[in-house]
Amino acid sequence: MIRTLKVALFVSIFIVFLLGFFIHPEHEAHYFWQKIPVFEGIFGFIGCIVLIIFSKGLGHLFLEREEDYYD
Amino acid sequence: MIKPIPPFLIYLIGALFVPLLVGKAKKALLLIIPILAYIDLLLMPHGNYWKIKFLDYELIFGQVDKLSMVFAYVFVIISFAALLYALHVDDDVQHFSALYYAGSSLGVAFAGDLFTLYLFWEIMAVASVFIIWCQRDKEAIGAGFRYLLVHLFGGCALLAGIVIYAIKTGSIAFSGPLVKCGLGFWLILIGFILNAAVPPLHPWLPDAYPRASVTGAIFLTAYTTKSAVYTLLRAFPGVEVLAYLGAIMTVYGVVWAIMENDIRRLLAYHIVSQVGYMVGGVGIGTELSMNGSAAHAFCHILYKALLFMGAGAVIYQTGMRKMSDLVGRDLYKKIPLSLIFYMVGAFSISAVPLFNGFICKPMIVTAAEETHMLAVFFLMHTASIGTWLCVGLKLPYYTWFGKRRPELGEIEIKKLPWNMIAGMAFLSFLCIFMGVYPDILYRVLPYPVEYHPYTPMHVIGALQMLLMTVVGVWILLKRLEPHAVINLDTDWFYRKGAILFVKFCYGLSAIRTILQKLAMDFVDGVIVTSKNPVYVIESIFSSKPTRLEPYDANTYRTAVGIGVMFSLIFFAIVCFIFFHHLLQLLVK
Repeated sequence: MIRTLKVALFVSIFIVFLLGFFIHPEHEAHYFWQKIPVFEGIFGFIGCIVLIIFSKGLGHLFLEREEDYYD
Repeated sequence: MIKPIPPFLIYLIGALFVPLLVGKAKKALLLIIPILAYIDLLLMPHGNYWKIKFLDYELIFGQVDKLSMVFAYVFVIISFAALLYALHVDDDVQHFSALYYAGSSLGVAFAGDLFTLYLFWEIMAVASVFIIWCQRDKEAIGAGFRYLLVHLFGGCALLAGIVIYAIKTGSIAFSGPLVKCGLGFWLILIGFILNAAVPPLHPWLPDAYPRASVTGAIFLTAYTTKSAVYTLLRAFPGVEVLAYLGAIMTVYGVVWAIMENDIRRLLAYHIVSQVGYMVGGVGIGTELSMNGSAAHAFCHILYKALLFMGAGAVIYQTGMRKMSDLVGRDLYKKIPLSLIFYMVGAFSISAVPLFNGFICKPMIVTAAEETHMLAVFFLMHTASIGTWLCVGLKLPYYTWFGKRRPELGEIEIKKLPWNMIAGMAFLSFLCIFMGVYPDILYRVLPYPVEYHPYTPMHVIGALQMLLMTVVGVWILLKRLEPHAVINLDTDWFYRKGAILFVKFCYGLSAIRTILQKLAMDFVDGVIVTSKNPVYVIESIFSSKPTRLEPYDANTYRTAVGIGVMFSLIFFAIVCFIFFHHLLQLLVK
């Protein structure tokens, strides 16, 4: 089950990354990242990792309390 | 031609019949009220009407234009869905409060002046706190009181702002951007952004919403924050600070949501995040971003209610609300319906193509990019990742799936009532329908729309981002695991601050007691001294304290009597001698 999911995930990622090379913005690109075909994918991946590590770190270091903290 | 009546009256008067009816008649009434209101909205022409003279001002209860209509439509639609979802609940107080809540939010949407706005604003605050209290447990009552105090503070700021604004500008009109006139302007803004849950004024939202009942929470998700977005759109377009506040808000909500364990509290943090897009859209202030804010408010109300319904269904069926309790029970096999409807909401909020989030959120993000507000753009873009990773991946994984824990016993699963399923199905349909056919929404937006969501660029970009986030989550799944803890937020300041304040008051009270005791001792001393000075002298010099005898008139009667007698005799002799000499002087 998990194997099938993994394969499906990687196949679809391959397809959308490939498609990224064939489409172009309708108008002139303002910024450099609009010209990178796989920018959104890379941004999503890095953003996801950074968010998880940052949030969980923030929680573990400063914000976590016992559930009856306010009682 | 039938003349329309103020739509809030339908709710406010309809609510009065709720306690009078029973059984099917009551259920029919609850569903008919929003339907009547919707027909009423269709009959209402644009313009300003329903005016009342009040003191020197004119109160306008019917300021109808495209902007107010967008919000009115969705307020009515969501009241129908939420009442349908709550139909099985036998709690008149909740139904009554919910109708007042919905009605007063319509009042806000059509208010043409600041006084009318304030009136409905406060009715909303009171009605919503009763919905929270309808859960009737200790947590809900505590959270309700905190919610009420925060909103009363916001209400005071708003009222003070309105009064100062009215005096400075001489106008209470609420028809377009407010005049920048110093303090009044900013106080009104604070009143509005408190209701929009802009950090650091937001913790009332994740504190109170998850503690409401399963059905009551649906109403809460829709009205307070979105009516605040409406007022911001009307009165504060293009106020740049809102663009940055909104962008920070989007990420703030996501970061706290990633740490969260309670499923509805996680979703509540995502309200903060999503309203951040709308507030940001107001701040950017272009036609595209303002349209985006209105459209996003419309879609957000639908999918957020749907998410809360799905999460509420899990709580209703299992009696558990924390992911650390729910994980590993294979609930996807036992309660698949709630999973399916929840995922429609999750795809919508994450802006998956063909769902309604995809047709509204990118409008605001694109507007930020076009106006070269790059910080705003990147913050919002990052928050989109966080939305998908929390609402679309983390919450469903740890609620319905997760590593199997066979050591846990089977739990009793309650059957879902038909009306809860119908409510979720209705909203799921709307989310998908609007995602597939965006024109239906674009037609009612305040400005003409030239935005096309389904360009290959957008679709492929969105898919790349969504899929790569799945990879990221897969890699870090262990780290995401929720634990049975709570996370501090800015409500710490007033929850712990209140305890400090109470301690401070006790301290003041103790000082008062000491001072009072000193004063009383002094008074006692004076009384004793005046009663019997001898006793005081005795008690100072003798080591054995003498007892103060109670006053007895006979004790000193003889002694005093003899003294008085001698003094009388003495004075008599003096008088005798005096008069004797006087007489002799006169005779001479």
